[in-house]
Amino acid sequence: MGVALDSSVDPPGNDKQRFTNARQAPQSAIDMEFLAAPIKSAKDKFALVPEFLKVRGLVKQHLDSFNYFVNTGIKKIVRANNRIESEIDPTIYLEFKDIYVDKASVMSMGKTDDISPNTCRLSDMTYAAPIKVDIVYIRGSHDRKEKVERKGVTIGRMPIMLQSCCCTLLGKNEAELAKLGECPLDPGGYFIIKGNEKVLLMQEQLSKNRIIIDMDKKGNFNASVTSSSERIKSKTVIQMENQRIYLILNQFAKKIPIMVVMKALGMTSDQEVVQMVGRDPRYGALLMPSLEDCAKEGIYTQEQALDYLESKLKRFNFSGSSSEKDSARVMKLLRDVFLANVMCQNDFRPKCVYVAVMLRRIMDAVLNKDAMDDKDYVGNKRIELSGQLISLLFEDLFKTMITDIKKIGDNILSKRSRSSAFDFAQQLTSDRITNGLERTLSTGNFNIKRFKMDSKGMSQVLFRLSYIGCLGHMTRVKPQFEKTRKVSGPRALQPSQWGMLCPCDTPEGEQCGLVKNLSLMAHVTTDEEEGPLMSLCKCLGIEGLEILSAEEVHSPYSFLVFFNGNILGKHKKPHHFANALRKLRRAGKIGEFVSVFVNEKQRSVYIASDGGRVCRPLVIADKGVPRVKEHHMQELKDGSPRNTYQCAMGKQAMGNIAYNQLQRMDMLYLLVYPQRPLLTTKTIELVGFDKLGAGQNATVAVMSYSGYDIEDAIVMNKASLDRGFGRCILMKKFSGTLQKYENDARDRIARPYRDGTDAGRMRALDNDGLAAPGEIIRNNDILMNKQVPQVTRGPQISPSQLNIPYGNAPVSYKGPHGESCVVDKVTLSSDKHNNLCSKFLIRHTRRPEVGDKFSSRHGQKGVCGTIVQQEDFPFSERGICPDLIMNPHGFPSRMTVGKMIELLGSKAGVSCGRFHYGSAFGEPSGHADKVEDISETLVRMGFSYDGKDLIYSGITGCPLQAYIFMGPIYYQKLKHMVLDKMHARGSGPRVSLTRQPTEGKARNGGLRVGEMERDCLIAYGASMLLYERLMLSSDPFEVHVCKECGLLGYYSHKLKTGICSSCKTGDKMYTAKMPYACKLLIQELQSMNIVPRIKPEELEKE
Amino acid sequence: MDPPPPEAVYYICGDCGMEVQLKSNDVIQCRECGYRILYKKRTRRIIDFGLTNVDSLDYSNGRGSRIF
Repeated sequence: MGVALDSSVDPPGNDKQRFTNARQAPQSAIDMEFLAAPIKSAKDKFALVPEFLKVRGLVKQHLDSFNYFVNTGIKKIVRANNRIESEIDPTIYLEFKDIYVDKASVMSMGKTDDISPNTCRLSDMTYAAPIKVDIVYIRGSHDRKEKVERKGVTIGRMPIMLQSCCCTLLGKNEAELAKLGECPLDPGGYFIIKGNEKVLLMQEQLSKNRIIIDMDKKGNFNASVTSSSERIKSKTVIQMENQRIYLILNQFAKKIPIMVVMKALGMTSDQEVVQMVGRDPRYGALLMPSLEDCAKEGIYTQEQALDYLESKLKRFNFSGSSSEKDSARVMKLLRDVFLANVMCQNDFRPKCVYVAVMLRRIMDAVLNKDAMDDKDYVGNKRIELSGQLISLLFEDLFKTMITDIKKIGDNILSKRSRSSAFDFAQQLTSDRITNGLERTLSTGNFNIKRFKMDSKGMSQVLFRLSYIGCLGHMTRVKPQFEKTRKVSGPRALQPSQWGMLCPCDTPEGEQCGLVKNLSLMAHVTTDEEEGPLMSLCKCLGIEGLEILSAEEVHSPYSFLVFFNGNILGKHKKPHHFANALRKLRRAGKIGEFVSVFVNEKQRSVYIASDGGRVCRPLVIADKGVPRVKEHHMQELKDGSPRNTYQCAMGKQAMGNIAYNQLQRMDMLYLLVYPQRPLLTTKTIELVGFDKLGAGQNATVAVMSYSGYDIEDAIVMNKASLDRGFGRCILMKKFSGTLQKYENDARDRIARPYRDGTDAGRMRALDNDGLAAPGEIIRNNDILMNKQVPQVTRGPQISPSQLNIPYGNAPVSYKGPHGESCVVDKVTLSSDKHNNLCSKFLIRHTRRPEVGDKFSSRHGQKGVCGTIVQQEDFPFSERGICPDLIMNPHGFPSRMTVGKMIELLGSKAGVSCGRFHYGSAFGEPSGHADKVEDISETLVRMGFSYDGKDLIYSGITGCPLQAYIFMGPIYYQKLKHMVLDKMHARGSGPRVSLTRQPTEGKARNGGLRVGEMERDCLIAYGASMLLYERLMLSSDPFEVHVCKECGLLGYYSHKLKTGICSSCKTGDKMYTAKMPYACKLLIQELQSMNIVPRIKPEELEKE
Repeated sequence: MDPPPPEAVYYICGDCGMEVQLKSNDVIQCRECGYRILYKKRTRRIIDFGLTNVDSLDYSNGRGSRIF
């Protein structure tokens, strides 16, 4: 097809660097005329986008990552821990031969059934598949041993990502999906845990195993490497402070002079170190103070250096560590912790070279500030995906399982007499892995001690307010660490995020710029097998480190080759090498996402195949001529009729969340009559938004009317509302479960009372005690007439025992007062423990009212200011009457030209009968309609070219003095509705601790007079109002105070008088009024050994 | 007084659409296809939408709107 995915992630090195590169290049190399020549229009390239997305899908990064884990990652984990061996008898063992995740299914009553995701959603189950292992193990013990081979033993259940390779939905066509109750437009990429849709957000972090050069607050240069190997994660920092270079490692108490480290690694010759860093005298000069330092310490040999390091080790108070010889500990530390990504056994040479490269990079930065790395550069970032997170989780659970089994096995084997033959495999089938995975995914709390990981909120409930919102949630990228607020760097827009992270989509406020979203075509890589790539590189002529002398490492005729951050060797013809690799990549011999980059400045070639790099598609160009030619594009256009846009399957939208929205049983906001926008963009079509519209085309008149339209408020036409404009449905879920208790007593559903006090609340119930669909229901009505046994503990109750006492515990409907809703749907299902679980979906249809929030697609939100009879509404010559009136003051300061174009385009579209396009910058390529053309259409249809109409006043019937800009604009109803927010209270519930009114609408709380309001009242001098608000209406309390000691006493009901507990008398007591919170403060202070005493002045005078 | 056991009510299978009769303590499952989600049937009672009798319109919410 001519499209190649060129990995975009270049190795560390920022744009500035490359820019300077370009400038330094000889002028003759750049053909200025050629560069200045106009680039061919994007017209011919746009058709590539839908083709690309057809291959990719919208959430491929999630699916790829999960598929990689299920197919490769999980096998790697098991291969690394494949043997359980009894400590008592090493010949008894269990070995895992293979592991695989099956298709999603459910076990019920010993039978395995296929399961569809929608069933899981409806019956609160987890969409999971069994994890099966093939094992070989020894059964029996002592003299009766036999080797047993078993295949397909289930060790747990893995939650399955929808549309992944384990999912039943994969590869199904629209009809099949519809049969399974699934929406064909749903992108998948999330999990269903206990009936909830959960997304594991992408995590952004600094890339691992790479040298990052930066400057700290004190102006010191740092080269840091966050190493991450299978065994250990560590951070190594080399710092230049006061001309001297040090190593900072957590395990050492102090900074270690770098030369000591080099000597400890076996590089005792200073000359060799200098050679390794580079022969340039400037490097030598910079290294000089460090060399002197080392000499001053009197360290010349490896032993001396090791002794020195030993003395600087952090002392731990473990009894075990003292027994180990410390010099051995230092060696182990240097081998395993120090630069852990550079693997080596006992020869530390690779680490020496690595340190030398780090030193060289620091010195480059010292000599030339441009050589610093930019931490915010997208290439220096990695994105952790759901597959990696689950992989960590599974590894932990699997290892825990293995140690547990070992323990249990040893326990059994150490016992003398056993009733049955010993069988390892029995221990495999437990719920440990299943529950661990399920719990972590449903709470989002990743607490993995093994990897020192403790993060909260990793999984979120999929945002299902609208289809576009749901897609957006799937592409969200969360920052790993809490960023300091003052630094603007991480929040700022990075030039390198072009095409990878969306420049527009970021939340406002606190998280602004930190939470990002992936671009439409961006992709995140998964890990690629390193071994074959490394040997391929060797074959392409890389000279390994082991055959190089120190002098040769940085020789001027060769480039160093880095592979995933590790030094592979050097190459004499770097460009040749890079081109060879690229050719192999384009030929599909190596992974499509392997990145090759020749960094001229650093004289190195960077190859990356690690996971988490963000990529974007590029068109390959040879010397500025794109390889995609006109004939490729012709093939696309004239090919099969399927070569339309990814989602263009030509069905009208019926809903606005998913096609299966009416099958769902959860909280939903639906529009009664959703429409497709008259003016769309290509991108909207690509994501399928035009099929799941979330708004209506309203005829808008931009004029002033009635004064109820100030501050972006909208005047609405009552007749439009009657016709259904902005009418929405709110679905709310209620559920009730019949539980079973320890004593075998069960909850039950009682028949409804048809008369008596509760009969009114039970109107909606059928004889089975469940509300029937179609019944009108009001606040506090009963949905499920549940009763619970009053005794739930103690002796067992046989099922025949009917006379146990029951108490009422109905599930009742809580909704807005005075509104009547309808029971939409009632389901019955059984949960995991075979208890009856009933769900009720309550439908509330709402018509827009004053205060409801609306918005066009241009960030122009506004509330409904007033609703006016159509009789009073203005109308045009043709009798067109707007649905809403918008104040023209919304335009000048917002500069939403798009909204005006939308109005024009929609008006032209609705009059000529063709949907118009408004893609940004799409006019030159023909993907958007030009205003000029629109105007022509308007004139042809008998309108004014500028979209303005002659309008008559609805009140007087006279023509208005000005022409009014009028036409359709796509309006969305937002979920913020007054009905949900409206709240007031007189007296009501209080918090038991402080006796102050509760907070929030949900708790029927009061409205707070806060500090600032208080300040106003003080400034005004309204003391009585203050007194009333802060005390009488809040938490008035009467305390008994002792005149003698000033402490609080109590009221004795027996003696009918206040008594001071410290003076033990009630003689000199008086009462005082104070807020309960004040009394609480006094008591809290007392509990901390501070005695506040109350000494009222007036009483003294008496 | 002990309420008599609830009499059987018919439900509809979410998969095949068959009518299923359930008694208390029955397993929630379709007899025909084994599907485990059942739906309640729509009420047979007459729903008073308050449209026949204007007096019963609930104006207490200040809207008097009656949409379902």
